[in-house]
Amino acid sequence: MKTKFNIEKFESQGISLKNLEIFIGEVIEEEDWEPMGPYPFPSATDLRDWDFKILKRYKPFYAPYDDTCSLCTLGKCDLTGNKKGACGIDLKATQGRIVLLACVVGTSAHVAHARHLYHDIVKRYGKDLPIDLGSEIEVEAPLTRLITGIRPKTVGDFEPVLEYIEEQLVQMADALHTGQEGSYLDFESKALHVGMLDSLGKEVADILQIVAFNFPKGDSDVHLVEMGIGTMSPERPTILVIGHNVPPALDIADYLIENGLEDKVDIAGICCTSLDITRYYPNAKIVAALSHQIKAIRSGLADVIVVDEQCIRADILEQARRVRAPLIATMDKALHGLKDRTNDDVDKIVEDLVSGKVDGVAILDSEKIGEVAVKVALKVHESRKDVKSLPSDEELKELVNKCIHCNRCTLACPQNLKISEANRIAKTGDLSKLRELYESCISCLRCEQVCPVNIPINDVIMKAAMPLIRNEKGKVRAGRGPIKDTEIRNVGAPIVLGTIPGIIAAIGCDNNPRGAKDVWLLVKEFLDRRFIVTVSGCAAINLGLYKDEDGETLYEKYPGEFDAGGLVNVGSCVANAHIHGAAIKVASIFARRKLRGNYDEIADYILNRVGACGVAWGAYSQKAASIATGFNRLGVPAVVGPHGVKYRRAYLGRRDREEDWTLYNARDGSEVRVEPAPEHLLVAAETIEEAIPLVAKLCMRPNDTPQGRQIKLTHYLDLSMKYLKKYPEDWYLFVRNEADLPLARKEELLKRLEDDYGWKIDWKTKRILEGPIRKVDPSFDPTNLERLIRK
Amino acid sequence: METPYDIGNIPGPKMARVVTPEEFVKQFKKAKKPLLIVGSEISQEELRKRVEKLIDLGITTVATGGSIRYFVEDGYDEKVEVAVLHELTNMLLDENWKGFDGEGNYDFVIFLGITYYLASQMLSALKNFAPHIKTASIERYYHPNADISFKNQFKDEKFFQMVDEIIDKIGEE
Amino acid sequence: MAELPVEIGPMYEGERIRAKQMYVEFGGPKAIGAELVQARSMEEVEDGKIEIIGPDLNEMEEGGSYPLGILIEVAGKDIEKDLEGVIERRIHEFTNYIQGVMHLNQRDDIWIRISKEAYGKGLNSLKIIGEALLRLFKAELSFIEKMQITFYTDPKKVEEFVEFARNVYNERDARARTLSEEDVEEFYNCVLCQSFAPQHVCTITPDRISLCGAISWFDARAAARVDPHGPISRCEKGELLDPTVYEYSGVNEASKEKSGGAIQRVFLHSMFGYPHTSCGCFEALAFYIPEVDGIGIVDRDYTGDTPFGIPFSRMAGQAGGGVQVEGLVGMAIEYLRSPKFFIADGGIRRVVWMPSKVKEEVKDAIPEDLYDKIATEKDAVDLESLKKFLQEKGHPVVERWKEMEEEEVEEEIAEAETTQIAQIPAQVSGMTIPLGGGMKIILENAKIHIDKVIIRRKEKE
Ligand code: SF4
Ligand code: SF4
Ligand code: SF4
Ligand code: SF4
Repeated sequence: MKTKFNIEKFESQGISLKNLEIFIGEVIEEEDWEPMGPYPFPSATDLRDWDFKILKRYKPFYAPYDDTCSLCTLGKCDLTGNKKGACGIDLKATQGRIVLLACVVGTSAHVAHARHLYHDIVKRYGKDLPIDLGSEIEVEAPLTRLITGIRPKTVGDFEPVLEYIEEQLVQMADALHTGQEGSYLDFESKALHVGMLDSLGKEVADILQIVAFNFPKGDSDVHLVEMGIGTMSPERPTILVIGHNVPPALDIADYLIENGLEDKVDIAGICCTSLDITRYYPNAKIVAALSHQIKAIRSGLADVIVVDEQCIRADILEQARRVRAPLIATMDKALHGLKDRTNDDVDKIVEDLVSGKVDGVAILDSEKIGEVAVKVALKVHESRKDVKSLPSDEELKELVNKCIHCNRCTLACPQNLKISEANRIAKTGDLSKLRELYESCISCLRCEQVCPVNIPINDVIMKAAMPLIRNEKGKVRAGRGPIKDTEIRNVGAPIVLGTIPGIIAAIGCDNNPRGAKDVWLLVKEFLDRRFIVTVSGCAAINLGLYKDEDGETLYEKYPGEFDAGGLVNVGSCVANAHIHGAAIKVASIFARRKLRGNYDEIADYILNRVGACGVAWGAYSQKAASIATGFNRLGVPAVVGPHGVKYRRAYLGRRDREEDWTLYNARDGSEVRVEPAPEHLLVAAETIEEAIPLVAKLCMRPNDTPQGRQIKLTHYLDLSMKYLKKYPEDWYLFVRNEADLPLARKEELLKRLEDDYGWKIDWKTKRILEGPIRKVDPSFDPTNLERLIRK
Repeated sequence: METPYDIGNIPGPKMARVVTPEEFVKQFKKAKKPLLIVGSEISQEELRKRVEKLIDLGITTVATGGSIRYFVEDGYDEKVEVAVLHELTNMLLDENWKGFDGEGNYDFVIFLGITYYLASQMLSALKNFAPHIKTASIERYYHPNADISFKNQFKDEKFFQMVDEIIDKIGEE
Repeated sequence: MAELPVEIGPMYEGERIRAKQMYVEFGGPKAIGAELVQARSMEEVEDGKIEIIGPDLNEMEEGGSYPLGILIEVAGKDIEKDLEGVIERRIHEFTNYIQGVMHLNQRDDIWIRISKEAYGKGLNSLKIIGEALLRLFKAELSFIEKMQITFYTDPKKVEEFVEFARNVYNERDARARTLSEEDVEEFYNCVLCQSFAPQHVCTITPDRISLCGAISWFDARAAARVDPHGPISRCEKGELLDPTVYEYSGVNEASKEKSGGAIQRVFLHSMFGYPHTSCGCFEALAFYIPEVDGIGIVDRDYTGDTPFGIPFSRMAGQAGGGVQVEGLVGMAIEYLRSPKFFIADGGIRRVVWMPSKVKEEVKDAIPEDLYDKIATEKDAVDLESLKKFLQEKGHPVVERWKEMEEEEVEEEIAEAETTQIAQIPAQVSGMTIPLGGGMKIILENAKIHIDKVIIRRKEKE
């Protein structure tokens, strides 16, 4: 629009204009898509009030893993009993410091991954590549909108987002230095801040790869992918890709496609790279999750191993050498001492690898990787046929007979597996006990290093479990990416009417206390109860391993929709930002809450209204720490498995402290005492039987309608009965009136309320007269934030 | 010094004193308000039957880790409390916690039948932040984070003998 | 109360029983069946009675398909004929609550399967199903004071029963179709969605089903009886303040109160002025298209573009949150069938566009002469082609265009003036000229050339 206007005369203090002609060539109005909220690009202190609010109710609980500190040369300091070190920091703050450190490391992994993708994609397609997730997704990047206030239209719009995260991350890493932060609460607030950055970084990474590589954009019926070691073929050359950053694997797939080799060479993957490559190339196979890395390599079925970044074994070169599989490292972050051959001639690299002149190479340009990997795989496949990996039946006998039952292996085993006992029984020819260890063994190899008679314990267990391994053939529904806006709308009414009792997010790693079957059990239980279950990462992979009585995996049995009883695999770990996204969209779609720069309001909304609960049963990595912390800041609680206590910190509420459970009614500013919902933000359970009812409980929210509460309470009680054979201690706290009570047990429960808790019941009308913490008030508008009070 | 059951789990200068059943009982008898916490490993019947004897001796017992269901099967559920260990430890840390009986916190907490690494971390929390509580492990594992602990015991029979000894000694009076 | 041999609860709702797992089945493709609820006087019902007319489960052959009639008779001082349908529809849900029983469809279309496993556990009589239903109905619908259940399995009896039930369904449907706002004393408000959209209030009348499509006036009436202080409550109709837009004093008051003052007035059947609010669960959106002066309808299953060139999801983002947005109103698809459908704005004859699937679905509600004149995505997904289509087909809105053009000319003139006045200061204020004390800027006969003005909201330093 061109404009020209004249001012003949204008007088004001200090300015006098006469016959002024102004031409304006172009007026560009930056789209003002939503008024900016109070905290665009929040710094650590901007949301500190919010953090302190949640930290007041969910106090950090610390279980030190180490009572000392040796981070600077003033140490080593003994902090036992909350003593202070030479710098003045006490043990509690030190735990907060370690938590922050874990979150910084975890977030760095996701953000560096996003940054790498950004460079790679800008190089390939330019900054103007549009961000278009299809007609059913209007809120394309909920976290980006919420945290930065940017509505990204092209890939280039993520540049300031990444810069922001990187800058904040350095600030937060700085706080780790000796002589900086001293309060545990402030360490926690910073950890929460970093957790939020983590969620944002993941969103950037996943949206980038979706739009650049044309991954599914929220389709619920995406293809099924083959999974399991049992699907690795000895007949065909196989390239094993391991890690989290997909471009190298994509390059291999492209090379296969371009050269018509799709059915000549297999791509098999471990960890998130396998989830992401199958979003692009359905022929690829998902071998397994993290705990199977050594298992897959030691099976000998991988002809070439290509690693990118994160969760790769540090001794990968040694392990690869053991089965004579050439190794290709592809990321500057994980070079494993290999020579950088990026600029060498492809055929020369291939020759060196095939001849065995070198065990491995580093190639940092993804366009060469495909050609090298495929050519090498084709060439070494035949010559590797004589690779002997696992012991023969005879050798197995000899090996177990060598055992002197010293139990050193058990003391070394993170799962405390009773190997000696299994060997003792194996000596009689009965391998069943050894086979039983297979499920829980995470193939960490700690045992092998300490065995005085050099038994390759991992291989012995694998050999004994061969019948199981051969049957590890399942299906995984490929990662679908975001949840569609329309799906969120569809579930609105069922959620308020209670027919969808909650949203479960089973995510994270593979350090499961007794194998991944537990996670399968939990997911199946909630799917059968018509919860929505979203999954990602290793947890999503492992679900494909198990079949029900009809011989079907959960992915085959349950639809992929974000709906009652739907099993939604969003994709790799970076894709779980879409789960945050779904919760955020609830606020923007139903309440039309403004997202832009409005983090605390949305987190408050989610904490009080969205009945979602994360489960990271096998969480092990620093990334899992930042992921969980990011969920927590957004108001989503999470349950971890028993290994999770090694993260040192939990956020535990206390239902017995009445003063912790008051909220404002935003309508009139009155303070309302509410039931403890959700009771914790981060809590560990010992067994899955304990976890299942706990997860059901953590789906309750103060805003539940009577219909919703009734169903949630029904499941809480029923799951307690099913897995613990007893009603939980605290169920009555969640009863606001008789309409909240489970239908089939209404009379019985009214009686219990009267007998066990002294409530007053009018038996004629079957109404509760006295007892509950509060009555149902359909107009209650719960909030923790004073600024949202309307009067 | 005894090796921690998880060999790398060396927390720092303060590690549990290894005790015999006899010494344990001596400490136990000094306590004003003991609490026995049992976990998922009491699914093993031989262990559970022994725990039930301790319950019969009147020791306040909490079933954690989902172990309550075994007590329900045995008809002991009315005699035990139920909690998630993480929640329970958190309450124990608070000196002013009212306890299960509403009359106050405990001063001597005993761990038995709990997944090793979970128990270890909870004992660490109590060691470092609950000066008002003494902790004891009568597990088959040496727990460096407890105040007193049995040593590692790989053989069931030996371990059960030790627990039996405790039962006998406590029952003597 | 006696323990039942199988469990009951919502966790069994999703249970599927395949042919090979089934002990027997009722109704479905191979046999006839029906279920019916009848309101009776207190004397006519013997509370808790369960009768089986014909063979019981244990007298049936494994793997067989049998006819079945379920008659539920209820009594209570708050029970009336109008609630029969509401109670009846719960049979589906409650039967599914029973472990090992699968219930599909409703009315004379039912299909029930009993699993072998459940039969093995002792579910060997229809009495047990009756027992479970009695328990669930009375726990959920407290206004049922007495209830008795009769199962017909005798083929002849079932035949008669199905015949009878069909007549009742027909009568009931006829009444539901003709019942209108004028016939009733009260409406209902639903604020269930306030748990997510704090200011939203649904007003439900015989002529306006809730915008989620889940709650009819009858459903709301039943719910309000069970729990008068719950999220679904009675709303006095009050005085009809404006019979063109259907503004009722009672609705205004209730909305004011229930929205905490955010909503002051509601025009029940108009898209303009003070339209009904939307939460987020609306099945469809009605949107005004000024360019053709007509109404478009788009439902959430439709993924293509609307004539505005944008899809449902984009448009829906503008509605919701319990706010009144003129010209953009959430609604249930069923509302298209209401005789009062946006009647203030011209009703169904003002509708110019809807997705073909919806059009097919509500075919019966569209006047025959209009049907071909309403465009779908096959005819137009932009305004130009929509205009052309309507003109070609002679849609009734075309008549309005002439009047519209005349008005528009005037409006345009007025607008031209105001916008100019409004814009210039905004632009000047965007330029900051630092003025020191005592300094004066004088520009005379000056020309300023500006290539580009970028107006950017200030983001944080
Ligand atoms: S950082 Fe502080 S506590 Fe840690 S070693 Fe240095 S002085 Fe000691
Ligand atoms: S490899 Fe398996 S058995 Fe060995 S220490 Fe690790 S988990 Fe234990
Ligand atoms: S360390 Fe080796 S010898 Fe010792 S018990 Fe384990 S397997 Fe046997
Ligand atoms: S949309 Fe449905 S559930 Fe929501 S308030 Fe309206 S009637 Fe109630």
